[in-house]
Amino acid sequence: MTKIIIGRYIPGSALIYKFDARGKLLVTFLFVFAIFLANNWPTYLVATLYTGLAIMGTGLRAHVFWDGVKPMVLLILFTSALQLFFSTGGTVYFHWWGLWLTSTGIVNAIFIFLRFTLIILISTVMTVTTQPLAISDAMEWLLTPLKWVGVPVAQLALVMSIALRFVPTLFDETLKIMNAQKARGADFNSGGLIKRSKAIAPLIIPLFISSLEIAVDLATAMEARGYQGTSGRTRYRVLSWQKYDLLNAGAFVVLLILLKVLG
Amino acid sequence: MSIKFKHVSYVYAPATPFEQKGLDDVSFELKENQFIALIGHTGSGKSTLMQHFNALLQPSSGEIALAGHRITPTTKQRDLKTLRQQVSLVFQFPEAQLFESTVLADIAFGPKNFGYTDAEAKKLALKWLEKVGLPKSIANKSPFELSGGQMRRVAIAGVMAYEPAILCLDEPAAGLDPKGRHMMLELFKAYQARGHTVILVTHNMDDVADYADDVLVMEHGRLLRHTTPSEVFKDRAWLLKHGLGQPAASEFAAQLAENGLPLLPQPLTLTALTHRLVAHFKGGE
Amino acid sequence: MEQKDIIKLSQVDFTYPEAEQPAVKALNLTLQAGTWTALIGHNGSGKSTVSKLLDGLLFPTNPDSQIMIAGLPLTPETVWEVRKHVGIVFQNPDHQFVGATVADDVAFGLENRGISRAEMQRRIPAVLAQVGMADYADAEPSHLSGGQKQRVAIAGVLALKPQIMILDEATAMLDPEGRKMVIDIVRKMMVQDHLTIISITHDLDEANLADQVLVLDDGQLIATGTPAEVFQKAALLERSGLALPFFYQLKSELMAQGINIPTTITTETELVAYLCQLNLNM
Repeated sequence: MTKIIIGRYIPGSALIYKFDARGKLLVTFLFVFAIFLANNWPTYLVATLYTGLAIMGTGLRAHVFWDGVKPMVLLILFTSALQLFFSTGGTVYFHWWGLWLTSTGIVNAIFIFLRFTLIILISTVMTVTTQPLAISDAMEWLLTPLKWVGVPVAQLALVMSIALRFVPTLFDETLKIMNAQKARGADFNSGGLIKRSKAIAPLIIPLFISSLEIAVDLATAMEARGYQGTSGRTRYRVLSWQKYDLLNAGAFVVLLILLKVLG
Repeated sequence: MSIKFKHVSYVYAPATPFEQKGLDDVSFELKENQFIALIGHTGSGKSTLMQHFNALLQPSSGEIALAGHRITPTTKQRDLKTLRQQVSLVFQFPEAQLFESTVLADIAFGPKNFGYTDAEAKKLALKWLEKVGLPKSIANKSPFELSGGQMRRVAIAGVMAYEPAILCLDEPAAGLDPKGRHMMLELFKAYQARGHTVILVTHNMDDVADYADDVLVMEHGRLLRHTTPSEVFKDRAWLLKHGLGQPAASEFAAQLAENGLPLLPQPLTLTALTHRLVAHFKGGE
Repeated sequence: MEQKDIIKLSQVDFTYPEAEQPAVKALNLTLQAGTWTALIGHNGSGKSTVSKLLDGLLFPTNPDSQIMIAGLPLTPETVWEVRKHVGIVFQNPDHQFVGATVADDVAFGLENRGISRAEMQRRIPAVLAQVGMADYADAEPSHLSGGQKQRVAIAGVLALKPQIMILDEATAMLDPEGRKMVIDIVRKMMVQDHLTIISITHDLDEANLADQVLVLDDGQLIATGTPAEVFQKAALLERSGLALPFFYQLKSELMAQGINIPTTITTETELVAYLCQLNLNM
């Protein structure tokens, strides 16, 4: 009955969904650096437009993105406030002890605010339009260079995908054990901190044992199905570049050029 | 006193894209001290219904009256602790709920939560350890050293130890061997005979025929029928249409009838079938 | 088709570390290719240990024990070779589902054996169609029923084209519908691919469908034979925590109450026909 959503993926079929996960992950990653090229109004306008287009390309409603920004709002406002009151230069409107309110400060605060918000929005675009499994595959691809220095990237990727696969299973298990203990009169929701942390034992211990059981069963099943480590394995799931990815890359290159030219 | 459901509906994840109807306008009244079977397909709403008996789920609309409690969508959970003591739930594979360091402590967990003193709880635990057919010698062992079948019994003892008036069980014998399965069902039948209500969720139609007085049939979250086993197993075409099986004895009798040997009334159990065949061929009753 | 011995166990002993009693004792066993064998026994009789021994997930603890699978002696050196011929479907549908989706799960075994991607793209849809799961290739396990997950597990085994398929209580956690579907599929595949099936179960009606029934108690074989032969030993089965399938219970009840039933009657259909005939002759 429980169908929980892992990560923040929201099923859809708009343009951005068609982009390859590797492309999206890479662009998200590079965007964080690219945004530092923005240093004046025109460049921030271009970056904002780019982000706006990306959001439109998801075909999702605005509140999805607000949900992405919400948890970070305080941090963004705090950082912006630091810029606002501690930057000097330009016209001074107000000065009291170490606090300055200057024209530069105001502009810097707005820029910082935009920088943070745009980064969060772009990564939200990536996470809501890409399945966790595809993100995990894309990470493996991005980490490929580490293979040469001996990092077991393929194993890590397998571990990650199995972990993702078992999130709903463990979630169901938790719910089931919680209900069973509630039926035996356990109370998880009242009392002080000590009472509550004691009350958690009837939940945590069975869950730990269940997880161990799953791990043992899974290891046996994997061995029976011929798993001998990742060397010599072939791959069924292969990410493949499509014509849409040229659009993704093209748009990002245009962004870079504009930021450079206008900056 | 009875168990009464009045227009009970339940909606999972309301107002989200994942909204789903669990129960749809379910109304029935059960007599107490009976053995009631709850049958239906996987996903028919049996488990959802079961979790309403002790208010682990509360109705989205409608009203439930049982064991002196009234449960509505707005009933507060903290008012339900005494209900949980009177109506107890055993989930599928209940051995997953064991957590204490000893068998005895685990069985005593429920009684202690419901206000028994340590000494009383321990006494009840010992009593039920034996009642479920386990030797006293394992009382101080870790439950995790036991075999799967023994763990199952410890878990069930832990739920019966506070002697609830109503005991609901979801496939309690799943995965047990025939002997273990038989012992388990006899235990519940005996509990019912001593003046308790037993509600058994099951896929096994032979168990329905052998033990139940009353049957609830669920489909797509709705109550399809509420009747006696002999009524529910009478209409083979209806059962087939709803994807439900028949007890083996009824199935066999139906084959006999098709080939020109009808036995009436229709036998539901092996004993009834043999009895009727012997009566038919030997003449005497 | 010529019947050859595909599995041969001689004097197999196995004791778990720290256990006082052996889980399997002096087990001798010969199974023929293309047959269905049901291995029955009460909880803890050693049934699952036998399935693990057959796939080299465990090795006998007695050096004189011998296990031959598909003509190969099973040793730590040959185990990966032997596993190519043996597929197992385990009890818990959720704990053996490795892939993030149905297709990924079927692919897992193929990937382990280094099968080319082109070949996987051919085999995966084919085996999913055989188990009736073709429409679910992209479905995630949390959206499937237990029976559907077990069918995917069977597809995963079939994709590797083994000679032997072991069902290790594979239907124990399913509802009757899921159970029937799994058994029907396995039966069909047994004939089609000339598979050897070993089904570990305590569903006696399921065992009744087998070519051969083996009864295990405390790690020892206490009875072997066709279902008709084994289910005649009612007292023995009862002693080891088992019961009889419905047909044999009915037959023995009727006999006990003076209705004579010829020993030639070994199926429910035959019994129905016999009783109806008896009725006509009255």
